[in-house]
Amino acid sequence: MPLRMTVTVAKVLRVFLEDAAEPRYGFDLMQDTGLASGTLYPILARLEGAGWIIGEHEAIDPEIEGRPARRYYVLTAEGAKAAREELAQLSERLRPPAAVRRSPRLGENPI
Amino acid sequence: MTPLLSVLFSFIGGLLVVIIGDLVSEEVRGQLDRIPMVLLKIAGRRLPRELREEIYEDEWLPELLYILRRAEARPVSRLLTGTRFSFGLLRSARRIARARAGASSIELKRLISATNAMQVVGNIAAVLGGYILICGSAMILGLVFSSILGLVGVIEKVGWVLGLTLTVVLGVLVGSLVGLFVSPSMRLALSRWVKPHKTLIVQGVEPRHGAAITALRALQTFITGPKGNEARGIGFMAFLTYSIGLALGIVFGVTLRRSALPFEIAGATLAFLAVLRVALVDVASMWFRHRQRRAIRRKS
Repeated sequence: MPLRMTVTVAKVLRVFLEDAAEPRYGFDLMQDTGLASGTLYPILARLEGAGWIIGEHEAIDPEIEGRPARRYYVLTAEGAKAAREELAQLSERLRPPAAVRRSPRLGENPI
Repeated sequence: MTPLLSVLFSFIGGLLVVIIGDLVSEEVRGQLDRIPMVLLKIAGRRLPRELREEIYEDEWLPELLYILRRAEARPVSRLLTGTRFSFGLLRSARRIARARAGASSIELKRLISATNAMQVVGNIAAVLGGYILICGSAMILGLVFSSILGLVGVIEKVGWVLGLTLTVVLGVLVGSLVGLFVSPSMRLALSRWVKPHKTLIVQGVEPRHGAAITALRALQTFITGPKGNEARGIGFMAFLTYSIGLALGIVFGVTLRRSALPFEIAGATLAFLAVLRVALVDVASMWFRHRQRRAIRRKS
Protein backbone atom coordinates (compact mmCIF):
# COMPACT_ATOMS: atom_id res chain seq x y z
CA MET A 1 0.00 0.00 0.00
CA PRO A 2 1.50 3.40 -0.92
CA LEU A 3 2.44 5.68 1.95
CA ARG A 4 2.90 9.43 1.65
CA MET A 5 6.33 10.17 3.02
CA THR A 6 6.53 13.41 4.99
CA VAL A 7 9.14 14.71 7.38
CA THR A 8 7.04 13.70 10.41
CA VAL A 9 6.56 10.16 9.04
CA ALA A 10 10.32 10.03 8.46
CA LYS A 11 10.90 11.11 12.07
CA VAL A 12 8.80 8.21 13.34
CA LEU A 13 10.43 5.72 10.99
CA ARG A 14 13.89 6.84 12.03
CA VAL A 15 13.08 5.96 15.66
CA PHE A 16 11.76 2.55 14.58
CA LEU A 17 14.90 1.92 12.53
CA GLU A 18 17.23 2.66 15.44
CA ASP A 19 16.47 -0.90 16.53
CA ALA A 20 14.06 -2.58 14.13
CA ALA A 21 13.25 -5.43 16.54
CA GLU A 22 12.52 -3.15 19.51
CA PRO A 23 8.83 -2.81 20.44
CA ARG A 24 7.75 0.86 20.51
CA TYR A 25 4.93 2.22 22.63
CA GLY A 26 2.91 5.30 21.71
CA PHE A 27 3.98 7.42 24.67
CA ASP A 28 7.66 6.48 24.25
CA LEU A 29 7.45 7.36 20.55
CA MET A 30 5.93 10.73 21.48
CA GLN A 31 8.94 11.40 23.70
CA ASP A 32 11.49 10.11 21.17
CA THR A 33 10.06 12.03 18.21
CA GLY A 34 8.76 15.09 20.04
CA LEU A 35 5.45 14.65 18.21
CA ALA A 36 2.06 15.19 19.85
CA SER A 37 -0.31 12.26 20.15
CA GLY A 38 -2.64 13.87 17.60
CA THR A 39 0.16 13.78 15.03
CA LEU A 40 1.78 10.50 16.02
CA TYR A 41 -1.22 8.17 16.21
CA PRO A 42 -2.57 8.89 12.70
CA ILE A 43 0.93 8.16 11.40
CA LEU A 44 1.06 4.88 13.33
CA ALA A 45 -2.34 3.93 11.92
CA ARG A 46 -1.18 4.70 8.38
CA LEU A 47 2.05 2.75 8.86
CA GLU A 48 0.07 -0.20 10.21
CA GLY A 49 -2.34 0.07 7.32
CA ALA A 50 0.57 -0.06 4.90
CA GLY A 51 1.88 -3.18 6.66
CA TRP A 52 5.13 -1.46 7.69
CA ILE A 53 4.49 -1.91 11.40
CA ILE A 54 2.41 -4.36 13.34
CA GLY A 55 0.58 -3.68 16.61
CA GLU A 56 0.56 -6.18 19.47
CA HIS A 57 -0.39 -6.13 23.12
CA GLU A 58 2.31 -6.46 25.77
CA ALA A 59 2.26 -9.72 27.71
CA ILE A 60 1.61 -8.61 31.27
CA ASP A 61 -0.74 -9.64 34.03
CA PRO A 62 -2.95 -6.55 34.50
CA GLU A 63 -3.69 -7.56 38.09
CA ILE A 64 -0.03 -7.63 39.02
CA GLU A 65 0.90 -4.48 37.09
CA GLY A 66 -2.19 -2.59 38.22
CA ARG A 67 -2.91 -1.37 34.69
CA PRO A 68 -4.18 -2.85 31.40
CA ALA A 69 -1.75 -4.13 28.75
CA ARG A 70 -0.43 -1.43 26.44
CA ARG A 71 -0.28 -1.75 22.69
CA TYR A 72 3.14 -1.65 21.11
CA TYR A 73 4.36 -1.56 17.54
CA VAL A 74 7.16 -3.43 15.83
CA LEU A 75 8.59 -2.80 12.40
CA THR A 76 7.88 -5.64 9.96
CA ALA A 77 10.66 -6.98 7.71
CA GLU A 78 8.90 -5.49 4.71
CA GLY A 79 8.45 -2.22 6.59
CA ALA A 80 12.11 -2.02 7.60
CA LYS A 81 13.22 -2.48 4.00
CA ALA A 82 10.71 0.03 2.62
CA ALA A 83 11.46 2.54 5.41
CA ARG A 84 15.20 2.45 4.70
CA GLU A 85 14.59 3.02 1.00
CA GLU A 86 12.11 5.84 1.57
CA LEU A 87 14.35 7.58 4.11
CA ALA A 88 17.28 7.39 1.70
CA GLN A 89 15.16 8.88 -1.07
CA LEU A 90 13.86 11.64 1.20
CA SER A 91 17.35 12.45 2.36
CA GLU A 92 18.44 12.62 -1.29
CA ARG A 93 15.58 14.99 -2.12
CA LEU A 94 16.37 17.27 0.81
CA ARG A 95 20.14 17.36 0.22
CA PRO A 96 21.31 20.84 -0.89
CA PRO A 97 23.08 21.00 -4.26
CA ALA A 98 26.86 20.47 -4.06
CA ALA A 99 27.90 23.89 -5.49
CA VAL A 100 25.47 26.73 -4.79
CA ARG A 101 25.97 29.65 -7.09
CA ARG A 102 26.18 32.79 -4.95
CA SER A 103 24.51 35.92 -6.41
CA PRO A 104 26.94 38.86 -6.67
CA ARG A 105 26.81 41.38 -3.86
CA LEU A 106 26.29 45.07 -4.42
CA GLY A 107 29.40 46.63 -5.89
CA GLU A 108 30.96 43.25 -6.69
CA ASN A 109 32.05 42.40 -10.21
CA PRO A 110 29.62 39.75 -11.49
CA ILE A 111 32.43 38.14 -13.57
CA MET B 1 -4.76 28.68 79.81
CA THR B 2 -1.64 27.12 81.11
CA PRO B 3 1.45 26.97 78.89
CA LEU B 4 1.11 23.20 78.84
CA LEU B 5 -2.39 23.37 77.40
CA SER B 6 -1.29 25.97 74.82
CA VAL B 7 1.46 23.62 73.62
CA LEU B 8 -1.00 20.71 73.50
CA PHE B 9 -3.59 22.68 71.48
CA SER B 10 -0.91 23.97 69.14
CA PHE B 11 0.30 20.42 68.57
CA ILE B 12 -3.22 19.09 67.90
CA GLY B 13 -3.98 22.05 65.64
CA GLY B 14 -0.79 21.48 63.66
CA LEU B 15 -1.55 17.80 63.35
CA LEU B 16 -5.07 18.53 62.07
CA VAL B 17 -3.73 21.00 59.49
CA VAL B 18 -1.25 18.40 58.21
CA ILE B 19 -3.89 15.66 58.03
CA ILE B 20 -6.48 17.87 56.32
CA GLY B 21 -3.84 19.26 53.98
CA ASP B 22 -2.81 15.76 53.05
CA LEU B 23 -6.42 14.67 52.46
CA VAL B 24 -7.11 17.75 50.33
CA SER B 25 -3.95 17.23 48.31
CA GLU B 26 -4.86 13.54 47.76
CA GLU B 27 -8.32 14.58 46.63
CA VAL B 28 -6.94 17.25 44.31
CA ARG B 29 -4.45 14.74 42.85
CA GLY B 30 -7.31 12.31 42.15
CA GLN B 31 -9.42 15.05 40.58
CA LEU B 32 -6.49 16.25 38.47
CA ASP B 33 -6.11 12.77 36.99
CA ARG B 34 -9.76 12.84 36.01
CA ILE B 35 -9.26 15.72 33.57
CA PRO B 36 -7.24 13.75 30.97
CA MET B 37 -9.47 10.74 31.51
CA VAL B 38 -12.59 12.77 30.71
CA LEU B 39 -10.90 14.33 27.67
CA LEU B 40 -9.91 10.87 26.42
CA LYS B 41 -13.44 9.60 26.93
CA ILE B 42 -14.73 12.44 24.74
CA ALA B 43 -12.08 11.56 22.15
CA GLY B 44 -13.29 7.94 22.27
CA ARG B 45 -16.84 9.12 21.61
CA ARG B 46 -15.65 10.70 18.39
CA LEU B 47 -14.62 7.28 17.08
CA PRO B 48 -17.05 5.10 15.13
CA ARG B 49 -18.74 2.64 17.50
CA GLU B 50 -17.21 -0.43 15.84
CA LEU B 51 -13.67 0.92 16.32
CA ARG B 52 -14.13 2.17 19.86
CA GLU B 53 -13.13 -1.02 21.62
CA GLU B 54 -10.08 -1.59 19.45
CA ILE B 55 -8.78 1.98 19.61
CA TYR B 56 -10.09 3.57 22.79
CA GLU B 57 -10.22 0.64 25.19
CA ASP B 58 -7.34 -1.46 23.85
CA GLU B 59 -4.87 1.28 23.02
CA TRP B 60 -5.57 4.82 24.21
CA LEU B 61 -6.86 4.06 27.68
CA PRO B 62 -4.02 1.68 28.67
CA GLU B 63 -1.51 4.25 27.38
CA LEU B 64 -3.09 7.09 29.39
CA LEU B 65 -3.26 4.94 32.53
CA TYR B 66 0.43 4.17 32.06
CA ILE B 67 1.17 7.89 31.75
CA LEU B 68 -0.86 8.72 34.86
CA ARG B 69 0.57 5.92 36.98
CA ARG B 70 4.22 6.35 36.22
CA ALA B 71 5.94 6.31 39.57
CA GLU B 72 8.41 9.07 38.74
CA ALA B 73 5.85 11.61 37.50
CA ARG B 74 4.76 14.46 39.78
CA PRO B 75 1.01 15.29 39.92
CA VAL B 76 1.25 18.48 37.85
CA SER B 77 3.51 16.97 35.17
CA ARG B 78 1.20 13.95 35.03
CA LEU B 79 -1.74 16.30 34.54
CA LEU B 80 0.03 18.22 31.78
CA THR B 81 1.33 15.15 29.94
CA GLY B 82 -1.96 13.28 30.28
CA THR B 83 -4.01 16.27 29.12
CA ARG B 84 -1.69 16.87 26.18
CA PHE B 85 -1.99 13.19 25.23
CA SER B 86 -5.80 13.15 25.47
CA PHE B 87 -6.27 16.50 23.79
CA GLY B 88 -4.14 15.45 20.80
CA LEU B 89 -6.26 12.34 20.34
CA LEU B 90 -9.45 14.35 20.74
CA ARG B 91 -8.28 16.54 17.89
CA SER B 92 -7.34 13.71 15.53
CA ALA B 93 -9.78 10.91 16.49
CA ARG B 94 -11.57 10.96 13.14
CA ARG B 95 -8.32 10.89 11.17
CA ILE B 96 -7.07 7.92 13.22
CA ALA B 97 -10.36 6.09 12.69
CA ARG B 98 -10.13 6.59 8.93
CA ALA B 99 -6.55 5.32 8.84
CA ARG B 100 -7.39 2.37 11.09
CA ALA B 101 -10.32 1.36 8.92
CA GLY B 102 -7.68 0.83 6.22
CA ALA B 103 -5.54 -1.15 8.67
CA SER B 104 -8.53 -3.40 9.33
CA SER B 105 -8.36 -4.58 5.70
CA ILE B 106 -4.75 -5.61 6.23
CA GLU B 107 -5.70 -7.37 9.45
CA LEU B 108 -8.59 -9.11 7.72
CA LYS B 109 -6.34 -10.35 4.95
CA ARG B 110 -3.88 -11.64 7.55
CA LEU B 111 -6.67 -13.43 9.40
CA ILE B 112 -7.99 -15.00 6.21
CA SER B 113 -4.48 -16.19 5.31
CA ALA B 114 -3.92 -17.60 8.81
CA THR B 115 -7.29 -19.41 8.79
CA ASN B 116 -6.59 -20.91 5.41
CA ALA B 117 -3.05 -21.96 6.40
CA MET B 118 -4.45 -23.77 9.43
CA GLN B 119 -7.04 -25.52 7.29
CA VAL B 120 -4.39 -26.58 4.79
CA VAL B 121 -2.15 -28.08 7.50
CA GLY B 122 -5.18 -29.70 9.20
CA ASN B 123 -6.37 -31.14 5.87
CA ILE B 124 -2.92 -32.52 5.09
CA ALA B 125 -2.93 -34.15 8.55
CA ALA B 126 -6.32 -35.70 7.74
CA VAL B 127 -5.12 -36.96 4.35
CA LEU B 128 -1.88 -38.35 5.80
CA GLY B 129 -3.82 -39.97 8.66
CA GLY B 130 -6.25 -41.53 6.19
CA TYR B 131 -3.43 -42.93 4.07
CA ILE B 132 -1.62 -44.31 7.13
CA LEU B 133 -4.86 -45.93 8.31
CA ILE B 134 -5.66 -47.52 4.96
CA CYS B 135 -2.11 -48.62 4.18
CA GLY B 136 -1.54 -49.94 7.71
CA SER B 137 -4.84 -51.87 7.61
CA ALA B 138 -4.03 -53.29 4.18
CA MET B 139 -0.61 -54.44 5.38
CA ILE B 140 -2.14 -56.02 8.50
CA LEU B 141 -4.67 -57.73 6.21
CA GLY B 142 -1.82 -59.12 4.08
CA LEU B 143 -0.01 -60.44 7.16
CA VAL B 144 -3.20 -61.91 8.69
CA PHE B 145 -4.20 -63.45 5.36
CA SER B 146 -0.88 -65.29 5.05
CA SER B 147 -1.28 -66.51 8.65
CA ILE B 148 -4.90 -67.70 8.14
CA LEU B 149 -3.94 -69.65 5.04
CA GLY B 150 -0.96 -71.17 6.88
CA LEU B 151 1.47 -69.67 4.38
CA VAL B 152 3.87 -67.96 6.83
CA GLY B 153 7.41 -68.76 5.73
CA VAL B 154 6.07 -71.33 3.24
CA ILE B 155 8.68 -70.31 0.66
CA GLU B 156 11.28 -72.36 2.52
CA LYS B 157 9.18 -75.50 1.99
CA VAL B 158 7.84 -75.01 -1.54
CA GLY B 159 10.81 -73.19 -3.07
CA TRP B 160 11.26 -69.69 -4.47
CA VAL B 161 9.40 -70.11 -7.75
CA LEU B 162 6.20 -71.49 -6.30
CA GLY B 163 6.40 -69.21 -3.28
CA LEU B 164 6.74 -66.05 -5.40
CA THR B 165 4.02 -67.20 -7.80
CA LEU B 166 1.72 -67.75 -4.87
CA THR B 167 2.54 -64.29 -3.51
CA VAL B 168 1.90 -62.57 -6.84
CA VAL B 169 -1.35 -64.43 -7.55
CA LEU B 170 -2.80 -63.88 -4.09
CA GLY B 171 -1.49 -60.34 -4.06
CA VAL B 172 -3.11 -59.41 -7.37
CA LEU B 173 -6.40 -61.21 -6.74
CA VAL B 174 -7.09 -60.11 -3.17
CA GLY B 175 -5.09 -56.89 -3.41
CA SER B 176 -7.19 -55.66 -6.34
CA LEU B 177 -10.36 -56.33 -4.37
CA VAL B 178 -8.92 -54.49 -1.37
CA GLY B 179 -7.95 -51.56 -3.60
CA LEU B 180 -11.39 -51.45 -5.23
CA PHE B 181 -13.18 -51.63 -1.87
CA VAL B 182 -10.97 -49.05 -0.18
CA SER B 183 -11.14 -46.26 -2.78
CA PRO B 184 -14.81 -45.24 -2.38
CA SER B 185 -14.75 -45.54 1.40
CA MET B 186 -11.61 -43.39 1.60
CA ARG B 187 -13.20 -40.82 -0.71
CA LEU B 188 -16.23 -40.75 1.56
CA ALA B 189 -14.04 -40.37 4.68
CA LEU B 190 -11.98 -37.56 3.14
CA SER B 191 -15.08 -35.72 1.97
CA ARG B 192 -16.07 -35.55 5.65
CA TRP B 193 -12.64 -34.82 7.09
CA VAL B 194 -11.10 -32.52 4.51
CA LYS B 195 -12.61 -29.07 4.60
CA PRO B 196 -12.64 -27.20 1.32
CA HIS B 197 -10.81 -23.87 1.31
CA LYS B 198 -13.93 -21.93 2.30
CA THR B 199 -12.16 -19.62 4.67
CA LEU B 200 -13.12 -16.56 2.77
CA ILE B 201 -16.01 -14.73 4.29
CA VAL B 202 -15.29 -11.70 2.15
CA GLN B 203 -15.59 -12.33 -1.55
CA GLY B 204 -12.54 -11.49 -3.61
CA VAL B 205 -10.04 -11.57 -0.75
CA GLU B 206 -7.57 -14.34 -1.44
CA PRO B 207 -5.22 -15.67 1.26
CA ARG B 208 -1.50 -15.06 0.84
CA HIS B 209 0.93 -17.77 1.86
CA GLY B 210 4.61 -18.50 1.90
CA ALA B 211 6.20 -21.21 -0.22
CA ALA B 212 5.64 -24.05 2.28
CA ILE B 213 1.90 -23.51 2.75
CA THR B 214 1.43 -22.88 -0.99
CA ALA B 215 3.14 -26.21 -1.75
CA LEU B 216 1.07 -28.04 0.90
CA ARG B 217 -2.12 -26.52 -0.46
CA ALA B 218 -1.22 -27.61 -4.01
CA LEU B 219 -0.41 -31.11 -2.73
CA GLN B 220 -3.70 -31.35 -0.88
CA THR B 221 -5.65 -30.10 -3.92
CA PHE B 222 -3.83 -32.67 -6.06
CA ILE B 223 -4.67 -35.56 -3.69
CA THR B 224 -8.21 -34.67 -2.67
CA GLY B 225 -9.31 -32.55 -5.64
CA PRO B 226 -10.64 -29.00 -5.36
CA LYS B 227 -13.79 -30.15 -3.53
CA GLY B 228 -11.87 -32.36 -1.09
CA ASN B 229 -13.81 -35.52 -2.01
CA GLU B 230 -11.21 -37.50 -3.94
CA ALA B 231 -8.49 -39.83 -2.72
CA ARG B 232 -6.02 -40.02 -5.55
CA GLY B 233 -3.82 -43.13 -5.53
CA ILE B 234 -5.36 -44.72 -2.44
CA GLY B 235 -6.54 -47.85 -4.30
CA PHE B 236 -3.07 -48.51 -5.65
CA MET B 237 -1.45 -47.77 -2.26
CA ALA B 238 -3.82 -50.22 -0.54
CA PHE B 239 -3.07 -52.85 -3.18
CA LEU B 240 0.66 -52.29 -2.81
CA THR B 241 0.75 -52.37 1.00
CA TYR B 242 -1.52 -55.41 1.13
CA SER B 243 0.86 -57.19 -1.27
CA ILE B 244 3.87 -56.14 0.82
CA GLY B 245 2.17 -57.54 3.94
CA LEU B 246 1.44 -60.77 2.12
CA ALA B 247 5.01 -61.03 0.81
CA LEU B 248 6.41 -60.34 4.28
CA GLY B 249 4.37 -63.26 5.59
CA ILE B 250 4.98 -65.76 2.76
CA VAL B 251 8.57 -64.88 1.87
CA PHE B 252 10.08 -63.67 5.12
CA GLY B 253 7.89 -65.51 7.63
CA VAL B 254 6.82 -62.30 9.40
CA THR B 255 3.73 -62.50 11.62
CA LEU B 256 1.65 -59.69 13.05
CA ARG B 257 2.53 -60.67 16.62
CA ARG B 258 6.27 -60.40 15.94
CA SER B 259 6.04 -57.06 14.14
CA ALA B 260 3.74 -55.08 16.37
CA LEU B 261 6.09 -52.12 16.97
CA PRO B 262 5.78 -50.43 13.53
CA PHE B 263 2.00 -50.69 13.77
CA GLU B 264 2.03 -49.23 17.27
CA ILE B 265 4.11 -46.30 15.98
CA ALA B 266 1.69 -45.89 13.06
CA GLY B 267 -1.23 -45.94 15.52
CA ALA B 268 0.36 -43.25 17.68
CA THR B 269 1.08 -41.13 14.57
CA LEU B 270 -2.51 -41.57 13.47
CA ALA B 271 -3.80 -40.41 16.86
CA PHE B 272 -1.49 -37.38 16.75
CA LEU B 273 -2.64 -36.47 13.22
CA ALA B 274 -6.30 -36.79 14.24
CA VAL B 275 -5.76 -34.46 17.20
CA LEU B 276 -3.83 -32.03 14.99
CA ARG B 277 -6.61 -32.01 12.42
CA VAL B 278 -9.33 -31.39 15.00
CA ALA B 279 -7.25 -28.71 16.75
CA LEU B 280 -6.43 -26.83 13.55
CA VAL B 281 -9.59 -27.23 11.49
CA ASP B 282 -12.36 -27.48 14.07
CA VAL B 283 -11.01 -25.39 16.94
CA ALA B 284 -8.36 -22.88 15.85
CA SER B 285 -9.77 -22.01 12.44
CA MET B 286 -13.24 -21.58 13.95
CA TRP B 287 -11.78 -19.09 16.37
CA PHE B 288 -9.99 -17.31 13.53
CA ARG B 289 -13.23 -17.16 11.56
CA HIS B 290 -14.80 -15.50 14.57
CA ARG B 291 -11.97 -12.95 14.53
CA GLN B 292 -12.57 -12.46 10.81
CA ARG B 293 -16.20 -11.63 11.51
CA ARG B 294 -15.11 -9.10 14.12
CA ALA B 295 -12.66 -7.56 11.67
CA ILE B 296 -15.39 -7.34 9.03
CA ARG B 297 -17.72 -5.64 11.50
CA ARG B 298 -14.99 -3.11 12.28
CA LYS B 299 -14.32 -2.58 8.59
CA SER B 300 -17.92 -2.02 7.59
